[in-house]
Amino acid sequence: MSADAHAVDSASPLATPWQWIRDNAWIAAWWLGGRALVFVTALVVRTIGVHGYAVSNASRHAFGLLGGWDGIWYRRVASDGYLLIPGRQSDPAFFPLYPLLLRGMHVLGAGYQSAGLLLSNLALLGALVAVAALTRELFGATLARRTTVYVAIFPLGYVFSMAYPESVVLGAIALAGLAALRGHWTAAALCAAAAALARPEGVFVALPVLACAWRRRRSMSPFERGVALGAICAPVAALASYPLYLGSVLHDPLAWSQAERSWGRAFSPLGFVGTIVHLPHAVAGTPWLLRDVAAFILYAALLVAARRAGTPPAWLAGAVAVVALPVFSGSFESIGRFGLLALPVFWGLAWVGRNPVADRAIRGAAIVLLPALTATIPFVFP
Amino acid sequence: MRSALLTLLVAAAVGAAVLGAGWAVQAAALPAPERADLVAAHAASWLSRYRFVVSAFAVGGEPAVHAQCLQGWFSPDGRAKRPGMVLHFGRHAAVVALAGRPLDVLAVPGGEHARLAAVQLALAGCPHLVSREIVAALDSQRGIRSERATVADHPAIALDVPVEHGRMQVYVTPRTYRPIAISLDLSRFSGRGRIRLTPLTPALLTAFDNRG
Repeated sequence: MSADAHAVDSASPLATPWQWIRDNAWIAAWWLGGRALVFVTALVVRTIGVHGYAVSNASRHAFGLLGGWDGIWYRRVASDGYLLIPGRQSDPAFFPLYPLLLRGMHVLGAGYQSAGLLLSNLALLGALVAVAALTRELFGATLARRTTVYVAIFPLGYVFSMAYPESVVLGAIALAGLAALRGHWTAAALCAAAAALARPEGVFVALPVLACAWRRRRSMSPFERGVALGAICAPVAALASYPLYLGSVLHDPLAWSQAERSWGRAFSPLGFVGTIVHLPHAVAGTPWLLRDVAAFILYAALLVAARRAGTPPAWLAGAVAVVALPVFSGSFESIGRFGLLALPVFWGLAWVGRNPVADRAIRGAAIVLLPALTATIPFVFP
Repeated sequence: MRSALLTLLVAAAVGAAVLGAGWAVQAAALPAPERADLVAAHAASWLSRYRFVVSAFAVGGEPAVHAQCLQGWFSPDGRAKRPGMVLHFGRHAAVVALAGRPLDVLAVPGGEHARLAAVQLALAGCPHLVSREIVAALDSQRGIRSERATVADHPAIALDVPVEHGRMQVYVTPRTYRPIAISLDLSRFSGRGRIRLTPLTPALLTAFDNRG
């Protein structure tokens, strides 16, 4: 464990809300700064009209750039529900929590596009607060601060501002971990369930929840142990509720995996062999894939750093699953985005940034790369 | 022992509550698909699972002819294989529709209009063709409608699928949504066909090849 890890600095329970806001204002400042980079870049791309984007439907909305790609599918689910179209890319590939939230905001009067952008960006602010609190409890205040800053300006973090569920899931994972650390098992169950209902990777938060429950098992009453065990099972149960629902409306509980196949994804134990063998051909067809290969290598290196930082093994195991499992589905595609949900990646980066020179270099590079990668949205999906 | 049982019971209750609540929220808040779209998606799914269809169709006031449509890879004139479909109908007539080539009508005196050949392929239930029309209508949200119908005095569901220059009706069984009949009403041609999706066996394939 690093030196930071012992510098536990948990907030005083007697702190007033005003004091809490003052103590955490720096989080809002970094959130605002990072999002300003993304939104200004989106406006610039719209203004100069990149790659046919200027004439597309998306450009009608000032920040339409951030509502594209999968955002269109999530809006479609929110407005029309699911329908599996055989042999075509169809919407059961998209998990239901985010469209449910979009629908809720739409009922309150927001358009789906605006609802998505508002939801994702506010959820990121909440996620940053949760990540800071969780990291503070695991590693101490110094590493928590760096981790939070890095999440706020991470180059691929432009996805957190898109109409995608990543910021909601990141927040749910961090809150589930925090609640489990503090022994709030009902809250842990709810947050873990939310994470899994929004993205399948959310199910891996069960591992750190399990580790926390195991550590506290002797100090809990039988009832409390039951709730803790329920919190471990909650993400699996939430995940299972999705095929159950698809079975009830589409008469096909496997609609999700069928839809995934049409998106070119099918899990197989030896899938990574095909992914690696076909990589040169895939890169020749889609050179942008190199971005995801680079992200995969970076995440792997950062997970090694996270291990050296003293990241609890259960968190590491979950992160390895989040980063590595997509490779078993036949492609490196979108691993850069999927890895955003692996919190230990950011802990590893924060450990690397313990040296002030490295810290400045990371922040500088991120501030340059975040708008640069945002500007790639018209060319390639994240 | 009792405490372990209590732990398991509470855990099971939490898991069941999450499962039930997850399902209930989705069922209550997300719109269910239109019944017609759902039936059409199932019909397209049936069609995507078959390569061979046996049928009897009639165009306009002409008498009905028996037909067989095979979908696969074919080698026109012994050259490289191309994906497509071959329809045998009547005594010796055939329509060959291969990717990247114009429709080829064989053994019909004087030939026939390409549009008529396309109508024959659809009425014979050539799976890829019919499925493509259904999926295109679903994809573009063109508004497929469904209504009760009968086919040879048996209850069925008629799916009204908008197609270019007219409409296509795909009749499916009311329980499994398996396509059993097709009618087409285009500007120049109209017709009806009864179809039977048939698993392709080596014997059927040999018999089909011998016709060609």
